[in-house]
Amino acid sequence: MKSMDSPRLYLEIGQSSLKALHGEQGLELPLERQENGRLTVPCAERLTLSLRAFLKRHNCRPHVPALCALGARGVSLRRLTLPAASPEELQRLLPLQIEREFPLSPNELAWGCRQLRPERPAKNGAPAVQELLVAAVKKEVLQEYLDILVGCGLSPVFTLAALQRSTLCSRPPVAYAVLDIGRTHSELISFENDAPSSIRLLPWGGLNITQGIEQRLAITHADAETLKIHFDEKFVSNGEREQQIQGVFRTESHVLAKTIQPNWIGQKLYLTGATARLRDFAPLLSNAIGGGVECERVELSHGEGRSAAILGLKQACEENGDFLPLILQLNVSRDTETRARPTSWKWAALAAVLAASSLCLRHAEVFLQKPRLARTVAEIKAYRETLPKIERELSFLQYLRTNQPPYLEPLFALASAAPAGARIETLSMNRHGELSLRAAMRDSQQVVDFRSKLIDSGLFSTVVVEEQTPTPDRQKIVVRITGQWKPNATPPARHEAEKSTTPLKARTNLTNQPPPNIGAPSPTTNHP
Amino acid sequence: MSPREKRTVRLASTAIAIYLVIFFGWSGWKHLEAKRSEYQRLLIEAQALKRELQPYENKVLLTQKLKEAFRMDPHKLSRTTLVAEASAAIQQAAGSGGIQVGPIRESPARSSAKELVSMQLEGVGPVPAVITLLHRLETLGYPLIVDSVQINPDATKPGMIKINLTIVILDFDQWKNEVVPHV
Repeated sequence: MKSMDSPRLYLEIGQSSLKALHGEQGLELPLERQENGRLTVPCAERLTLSLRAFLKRHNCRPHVPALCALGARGVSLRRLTLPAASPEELQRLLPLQIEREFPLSPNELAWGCRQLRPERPAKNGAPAVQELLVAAVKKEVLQEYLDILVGCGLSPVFTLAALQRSTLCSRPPVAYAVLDIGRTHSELISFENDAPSSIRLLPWGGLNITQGIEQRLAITHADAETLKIHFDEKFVSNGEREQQIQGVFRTESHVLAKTIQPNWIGQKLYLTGATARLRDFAPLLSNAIGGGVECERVELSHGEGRSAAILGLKQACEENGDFLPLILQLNVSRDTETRARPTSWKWAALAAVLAASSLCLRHAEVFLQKPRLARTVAEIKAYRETLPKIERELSFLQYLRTNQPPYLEPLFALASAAPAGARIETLSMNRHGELSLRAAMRDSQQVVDFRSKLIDSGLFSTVVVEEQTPTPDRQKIVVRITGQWKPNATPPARHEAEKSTTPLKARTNLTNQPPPNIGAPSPTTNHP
Repeated sequence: MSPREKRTVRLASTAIAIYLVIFFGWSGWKHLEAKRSEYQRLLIEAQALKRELQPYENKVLLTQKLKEAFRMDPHKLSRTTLVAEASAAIQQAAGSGGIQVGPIRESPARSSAKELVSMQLEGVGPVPAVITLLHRLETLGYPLIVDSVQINPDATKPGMIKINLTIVILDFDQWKNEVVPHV
C-alpha cells in the first residue's frame, strides 16, 4: 500500500452500525438490514449522503484511501497448509485450496490470505510446506460496501475488524481470545501462537444486560439502559438496587460464559466494546467461565468513531507503515477494474453525450426551424401572388395623382396677382393646364403688373394678353388673357416647405395639401 | 450455462448490438442528412424570395400612402355602382358646402383613356364653398379627375358665382385587365 500524507479514513462496518474516523473527527451511523443481511436501499442511500457530507465537511480529497474493518458475520477463517511455492504459483494454488475448503467457489468469494509462519524446509523426505491463514466472505457482501464507498469517492481496502482489535492487546499469552461485545452480538476471535485460529459470532450482547435489568427492576427499557450506562458513576445510590443490578450482571455473565467453550479462549480473554467497560464485568465473566481464565478489559479512548477495531487498525497502520496483514480482495483484476470503471465510464459517457450533442446541434436546427421556415416561405409566396395586384393599384393611383390638375394653385396665384379694382368676369381652366380669363381693370399698367405677377408666381409657362379693349366710357380696360400653367409646378412658398420633408412623403402628399386660404378675399382683389 | 457459454452469448450480443447500431445509425444518419439538405434548399429559396421582394417594399409603401391620401381602395370599387355612388357623393359634398347644385349631365367617356363616364355639373355658391368643393373632390374616395372648371359671376345673386365642372370617373377594371409581368 502506498504511503499517504493526509489523514487516512478508518471505517468499521458492523452489524448495526458504521463507524468512521478521519483524523480526530468521528462519525457513527446506524445500519438497517434486510432479512438476508443486505443493507436496505434507503439505508444505503442515507449512508452515501452522510459519508459524502462527512468527507466534504473535512475537506477530504477524491479517492482518499479508506481502511475498512469488516465485522465477523459471514466471515470464514481457515488455516491452510500448502507446499512451498513461489508467489505466482501460490496465486494458482490458493484458489484450488479455497475451492476445496470453502463452501463457495473462489469466484463467489472475496478473500485474502496471510502467511502464518516462515516456510518449514523439507525434512526427512517430507516436502517443504508453508502455513497460510485465509479469510473469506461472500463477494456480494463486500461488493455492496464497495459500491457505497466508491460512490462516496473513496478507495476502500477491506480487512477483518476482529484481527485489528488484537493489536490493542498488551502482552498477550500464547493462546488467547478477544471478545468484542456489541449490542446484540459479540465477536470472538481466538489466537494460538500469535496466529488467529477461529472467529465466531456469539448471540449475546449488551442488550441482554439491559433486558435483564428491565425485568429484574420492572422499569422501562430506557431507564434500564441509563442505569446500565451510569452504573460505573455511582449513579445507583440505592444499595438494594445496586445489588440487583450486580445480580443481573452475574446472571448475564453466566449466560455469556455458557456460549463460550474454554478451549476457544486459551489463557486470557480480552474484552472490548461498550459493555466491557461496565464495572466488575470482566471479573464476573472470569468467574463465570472458570478454569483460571483471566478476563481483561482493553482500555480505549472514548468518542464517536473510536471503536476497538478502528483504533487497532489505526495503530497497526501507524506501527507497520500502512501494511495490513490481511486484505480481503474481491479479485485482483476485477477489483482494479471496478475501481477504474466509474471514472472511465464517466468520461466515456461524457464523450458520448458530447458527440451526440454535436450531432444533435447539426440537426436540431432542421427540426426546430424547418416548420417555421416552410410557413414563412409559403407566406412569402402567397404575398408574391398579390404583388401584380399591388402593381396595378399603384399605377392606377399614380395615374390618378398625376392627372389630377391643381386647380387651386392657379386660383391662388390669380387671387394674389389681381390688382386693386380688378374684376374677373369669366375664368376657365382644364386639366391640360390651359387657362383663359376675361377681366376688367383700371388701366393698362394694372394689366402689365397682373401679367408680370402671374409669370413671377412660377406657375405659368406662358401668359398671353390676347385682347385689351377700353370700355366705351374709357374708365376701364377689358382684357382677355390665356395662359398655360407648368406641369408639376409648385408655388415658391410651398416649394420651400416641401424641401424639409422626405421625397416619398412629399410626393404622396402633393395633392393632399390643404388648400391655401384663397377663399378669403384679398384686400386688393376683386372677385367676380 | 457454463462461463464459456455465457461469454459466447455476451460476445454475440455485443456483436449484434454493434451491427444494429451501425445499421440503424447509418439509415438514421442518411435520413437526417436528407432532411438537412431539404432544409438548406428551403433556406436558399427563402433568401432568393427575400431578394426578389426587396424592391417591392417601396412600392407597397407608396401604394398604401396613396390609398390613404385618396381615401380609396381601388379593389373595393364596384364598376356597376361606381357612377351612381360617385355622383351621389359629389352632390352631397357640394350641397354640404353650400352650393346649389344645378343640372348634371352624364356622357360616356373615352374608353381608350380608361375612363368610365364624363359628368358635367353646374352649381351656384359662394367662393369659399366652390374652393372647398374643388379640394374635397380629390378625397371623396372615388377615382375622379376634374377635366375642366369654368367660373362665372352670377348676375342675379351678388357675391355668388356659377361653377361648371366637367368630371371624369376612371375605370379601374381596365387597369385590372392590364397584364402585369409576374414578379
